[in-house]
Amino acid sequence: MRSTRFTFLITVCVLLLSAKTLLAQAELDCITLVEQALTSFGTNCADLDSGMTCYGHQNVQAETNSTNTSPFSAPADQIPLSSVASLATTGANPATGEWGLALANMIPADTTESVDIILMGEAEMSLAPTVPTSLQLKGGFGGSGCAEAPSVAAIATQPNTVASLKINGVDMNALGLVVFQQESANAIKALVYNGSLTVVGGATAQGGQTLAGVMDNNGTILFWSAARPSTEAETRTLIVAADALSRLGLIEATPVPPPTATPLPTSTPLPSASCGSGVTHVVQPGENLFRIALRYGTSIDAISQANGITDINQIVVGQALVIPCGVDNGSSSVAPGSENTGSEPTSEPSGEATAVPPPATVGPGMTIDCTGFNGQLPPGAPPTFQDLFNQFCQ
Amino acid sequence: MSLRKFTLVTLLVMVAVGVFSLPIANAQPTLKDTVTNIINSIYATGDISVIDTQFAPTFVRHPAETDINALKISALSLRAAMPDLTAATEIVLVEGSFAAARVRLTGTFTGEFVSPNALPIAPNGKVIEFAVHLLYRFDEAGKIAEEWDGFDNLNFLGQLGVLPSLGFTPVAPMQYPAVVDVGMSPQNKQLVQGYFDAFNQANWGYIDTAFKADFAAHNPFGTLDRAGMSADLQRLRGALPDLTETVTQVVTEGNWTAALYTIKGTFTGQYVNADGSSIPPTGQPLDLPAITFFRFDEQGLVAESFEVYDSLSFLTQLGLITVTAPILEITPTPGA
Repeated sequence: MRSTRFTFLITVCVLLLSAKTLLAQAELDCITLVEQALTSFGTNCADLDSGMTCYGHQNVQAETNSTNTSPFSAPADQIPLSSVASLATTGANPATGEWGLALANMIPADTTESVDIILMGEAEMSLAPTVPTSLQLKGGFGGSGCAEAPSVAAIATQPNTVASLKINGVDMNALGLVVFQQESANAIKALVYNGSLTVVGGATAQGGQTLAGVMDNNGTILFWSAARPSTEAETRTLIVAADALSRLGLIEATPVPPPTATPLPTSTPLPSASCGSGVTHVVQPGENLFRIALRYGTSIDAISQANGITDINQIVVGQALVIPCGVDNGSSSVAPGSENTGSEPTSEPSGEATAVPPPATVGPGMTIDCTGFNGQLPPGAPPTFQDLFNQFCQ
Repeated sequence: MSLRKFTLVTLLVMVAVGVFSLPIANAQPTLKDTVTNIINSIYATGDISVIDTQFAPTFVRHPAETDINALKISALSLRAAMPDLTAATEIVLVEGSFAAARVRLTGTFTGEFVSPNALPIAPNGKVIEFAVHLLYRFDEAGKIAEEWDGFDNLNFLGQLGVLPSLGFTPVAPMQYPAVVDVGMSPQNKQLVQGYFDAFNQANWGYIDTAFKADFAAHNPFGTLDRAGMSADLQRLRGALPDLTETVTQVVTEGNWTAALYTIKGTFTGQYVNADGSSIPPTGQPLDLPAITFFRFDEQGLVAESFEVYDSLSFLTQLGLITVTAPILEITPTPGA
């Protein structure tokens, strides 16, 4: 009896340990999944013919508007974009090895230069049948099983060619690689890797910048913000999208040599390293500034500034770079002003009438000037103005 | 049968059978339900198609004097910043072609707060909670032709983390959600008008006769008792000797009365604190809309009031603070 119970406990322990091991492997699998999926994508969809759509990595669903065309059934399948009503890819799942990747090549009506559209993870694209330049994109909504495998819908133009597109109801001029990521039912972001994105009649974002947009429940964008710097998380997403493009041979990850000549190891990604003073890195073939920043957990800005780099695409193999720890200058961090919320309002504010409080900085670019109070507020003032004075003007 | 006649008949029936002190939520079910449904659709589900179907094309939103499109933008920018936004319609009063609603909006600030062509405000992950007072005017076709907003930018921006926060949570009205008919709506309306008349004549004694001894006034800066509110108003009048509060619309139903009014005056006198110290005048004019809900007890005395106005506009108009905010446009206020 006792030995049976002992055996049972041992079995439970073994099972628990196995489960832990499996979980640990699942975590690692995310990176492997991304590498393998991107490699398959490059193999399956490189040199896609103009006007075609390609099944890059499982799973991709296509809805066609023609009975003559079979929907996708397996990776490397290709069908004409003209017969596609909508295209959808599935989110990352390390357990099943899924991370949907699809490529579509579209020729906007007013140009002969084509535009590449990439769907990654949980993403959707539909085309308005009567307006070939009108796209409805959806991507990134609903999260992902892997932080390394984002869900986005990306647009890549031909080099130095601006594409005029209507995206989710808004006329936009895109140049280079632009990644769209849906945050929630009513929030969308446009991340610019290189080139630019201009909202017709609105803001322009350059490489390394992000626009935040607000959508209605049908996915139509109502308006965009002004451009802000991309955050570290957004930069990581951009790197993956750019990596996909480079695997397809659509862009070069670094000017020399082309990444296709010396591809990165597929299943053994570079180990992460720490940034800091005195840390240097020698640029290897296939690397770009984004990858290096990601590897060291720092920002492109920090590396660029420390090394006097003005064009982030202009780094060369063998170049030694100083790798400082960058501060994310995006707006993903909590606004500085929020720290004031709990700041100690002195119960005895200075009764000295001479001191005029200096303007207080309370938010990004926001200041409050308390000259009106004129430093006149002594202890014992009524709660209304006393509280205000303490909060605003101390 | 017109809505007004229907109300009259309903009231007469209720008088005939002596059913006072019963909820009259069904007295005007259509308009009341319509208002609640519209607020839910816009803010709680983000379905802005109701704006196209329920609002007149010539719709104007006060005090920003903006159109339907701006309403869509403001609703969806809230939902983009707070995807789990909920809207609790705490009070809805309907009288004639007007409806007044107090709505509590609650959501977690997990997405960026985006204004058109301005830098977004980064989320702080905190639960944001604020009360909005809305007054709607319906046109002959049953569409909303005008909306007046009672919205406090200081409270909102403070919670978003871009302005210091006073840390006040909106107080939930007692008796929520019922509007109870105590058979004195016309008198309540007269009493509210009487209060504003008394205020304009500096007749402070009126407060002691019309407001309950344990009365509580909830305003953007906190809660005051009866004596505290009276003292607060007198201090303000001392600083703005020409201060007036002009009522433009009153909506009354059951034991609640809502008033839309404009606070006007010039900061030409010393703001004298309780201990005799003072804030010097700035000479600046004040022109500020406000919406207050008054709750009456069964004796017809004011038991509680809920006032919402833009306290950021209040402070900036008085010249007490100057906010330089390149990241977003503060809603302009007439006369500011």
